[in-house]
Amino acid sequence: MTTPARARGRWLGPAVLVLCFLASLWHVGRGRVAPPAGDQITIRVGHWLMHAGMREAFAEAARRYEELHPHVRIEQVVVPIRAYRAWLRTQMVGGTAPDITGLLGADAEMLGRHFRPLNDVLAVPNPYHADTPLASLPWRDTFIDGLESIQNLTPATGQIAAVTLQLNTIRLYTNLDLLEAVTGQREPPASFAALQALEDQVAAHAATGGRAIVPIAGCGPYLRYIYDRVLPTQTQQLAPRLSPFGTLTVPDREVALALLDGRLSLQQEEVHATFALMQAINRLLPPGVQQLQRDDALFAFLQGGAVTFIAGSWDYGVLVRDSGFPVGVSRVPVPLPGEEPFGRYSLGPVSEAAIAHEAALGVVRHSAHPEVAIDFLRFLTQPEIATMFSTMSRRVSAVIGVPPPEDAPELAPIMDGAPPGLNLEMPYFGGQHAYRVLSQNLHLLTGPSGGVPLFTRQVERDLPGALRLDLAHFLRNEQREIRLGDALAGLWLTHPCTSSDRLAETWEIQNQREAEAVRIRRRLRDSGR
Amino acid sequence: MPVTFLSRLLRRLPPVMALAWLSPAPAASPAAWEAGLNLDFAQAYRQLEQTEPTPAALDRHDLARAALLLVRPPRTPAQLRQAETLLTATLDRPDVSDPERATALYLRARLRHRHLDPADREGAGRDYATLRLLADQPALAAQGTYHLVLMRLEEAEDEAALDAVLTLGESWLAEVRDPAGRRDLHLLLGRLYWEERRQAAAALQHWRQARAIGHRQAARDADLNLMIAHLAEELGDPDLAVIHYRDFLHLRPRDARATTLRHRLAQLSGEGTP
Repeated sequence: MTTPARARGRWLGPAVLVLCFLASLWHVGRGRVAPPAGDQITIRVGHWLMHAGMREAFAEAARRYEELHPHVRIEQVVVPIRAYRAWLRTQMVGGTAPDITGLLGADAEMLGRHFRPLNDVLAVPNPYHADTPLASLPWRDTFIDGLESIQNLTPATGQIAAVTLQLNTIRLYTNLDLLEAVTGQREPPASFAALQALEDQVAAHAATGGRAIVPIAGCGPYLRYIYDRVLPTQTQQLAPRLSPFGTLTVPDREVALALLDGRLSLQQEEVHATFALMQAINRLLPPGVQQLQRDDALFAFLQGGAVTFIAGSWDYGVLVRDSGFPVGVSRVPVPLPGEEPFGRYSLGPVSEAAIAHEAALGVVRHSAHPEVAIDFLRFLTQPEIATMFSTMSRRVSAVIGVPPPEDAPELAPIMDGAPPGLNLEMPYFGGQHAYRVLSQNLHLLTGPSGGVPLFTRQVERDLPGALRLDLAHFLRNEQREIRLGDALAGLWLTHPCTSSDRLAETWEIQNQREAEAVRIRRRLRDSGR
Repeated sequence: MPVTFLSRLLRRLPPVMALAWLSPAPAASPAAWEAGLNLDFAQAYRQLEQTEPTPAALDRHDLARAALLLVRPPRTPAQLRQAETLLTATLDRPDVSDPERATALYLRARLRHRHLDPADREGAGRDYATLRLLADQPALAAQGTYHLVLMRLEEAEDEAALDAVLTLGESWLAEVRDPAGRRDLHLLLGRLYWEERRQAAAALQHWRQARAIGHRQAARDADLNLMIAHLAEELGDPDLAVIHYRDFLHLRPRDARATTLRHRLAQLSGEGTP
């Protein structure tokens, strides 16, 4: 016989299960179901931007937007950068990503599947730009780089999946007190020669009983930024001659081809000058710099262990907040034309018009209120809000005409610079085989008994094979994109509501990509003969 | 009792499922195409498989499936053979419409040229050649012409073969009616004249015609302006170079090359340095 209590107990388990199931349904579904008209709308914004001032700037922008649109509530979902990629994937697969989600770590496939293309809304003016100098421009043209960096993420489809709030520049930060103690001056080094002179000045300072310090705090990841800013000055004059069709650009694949077919040689003076400059830069950095991480470099600078720090504009906020000394901000000095010993081949500072984007935000496909989410993005990029963002976060806005942070105008990108030269290291090209050959032999250049001839001899032996592997890798990727383009063209050709415009765009991308792939294969074949 | 309820439900499920199975499949909707265009090829293919096309939409449905089979992961040789079979079956249907026949030819040519490993170059060449002559499908005919020229170029190993490609390209170009197709062929021929033959005048002529047609992406037009200006300078025609430098700056005022080009423009046009 069962007692009433035991009978109730038999129901308890299933009842709890049903309740949990219903609660899960409600939890998952609440973000997707649009409330009836007139109800409050909540737009969630997911991002990883926890740096000083960013969350506060988002909160302030949300407050102002809510004032304008009382039926909308903006919520931030801030995820630490280390966990962001995994979080993003999980949210996308689960269909629970915030309406507006940051793009960090999103590949072309994820962008295509989960983010709404913004091309159409970007093609018309942003209504929040009314009464500003940007009023008549399509929204897309109000960004410094025209969102090209975003479009490059989806080369096969031409989709623009996000807008960018900010741009990253690389700058020289100087501990002005320490600089004065070492050099007797408070002006940050304005030329590469002045930066180089710090090597001897720091040594002299240490010899007179001062603390052992280095001229530049550095780390492995940031060494790349220094090289990217400074080294291409040595090949700026060479680049137009190697640009195959006179566009003044020499992509990595062309550098690789030129090295293989003899149009470019490691024995060329400009190349030797690049390696010598690399050697000179490394002398200013701490020993074992490649093994150090960003926090090591930041700590060394903040603790007064380095006179300067070459870092990103994203680091400025934390440097100002946490340093107990005045920090000078200036452009990274590069060898200028006529300067000795590295100015011979230089055309001057490199333009930063095509620099890396930051804070790229897109609207997810499953958003219940995409039109409101897009409107909030428009709002974020209007000059007044973008200026507030820039001031609070101490970062550089991606919107045209928005001033840089008031206390650091030098963070603004260099727009009047010269085109860059070659990136001889090709760190992002193909399978990074050539990059590995160069970096694995770097000790032959920067070590105590190293030098340009020794380094060049060693690299020359291994580089051709590595370049061929990289080009083969590049061509495999191109082949994949070409195949993708075929499928897309097939879908546009059979689409029930055909859009000939999109088909034409697909073919435009596809045909040029294929012509370039054939060209590279021919040149590779010729260089092997 | 919950257990009893569940067992009742389970007993009734088979007839319910049978009813669902017997009911007609939903007609094809653009959703499958949209999924594919959003790069979710597996989902798109599943959706197409689960729909029953109307007889009028059968060919289009099969062609879309074939397009998806080119890229649906995992991409296997068997899957590519399935795509080829679908395309060939469509081409063999006596009542296939002209646009769908042209699409089938295009997709089969692409599959044979760029997807099969090893490529069936002969088969692809035949399909491109047939496609090229479809007068009522100018855009697809232009694609056939373009890829046939590229295929010949891939095969050209010596100077004589390259000359033959250029001759063929010029003669076929005259027959291409689709503007975008003409533009791409002009670009290709210009590249060959310049890079392989150093014939600046011939290359310039082709690139100017391509620029007159224009691209959908402004960045491509901007680069084309620089290519033209560069050759114009080579050929001693600064006035033409000035026109195209100006056009570049109009299209890309904040480009990384803009300052350099403003200086060059000032030199060529005799104006002061900006």
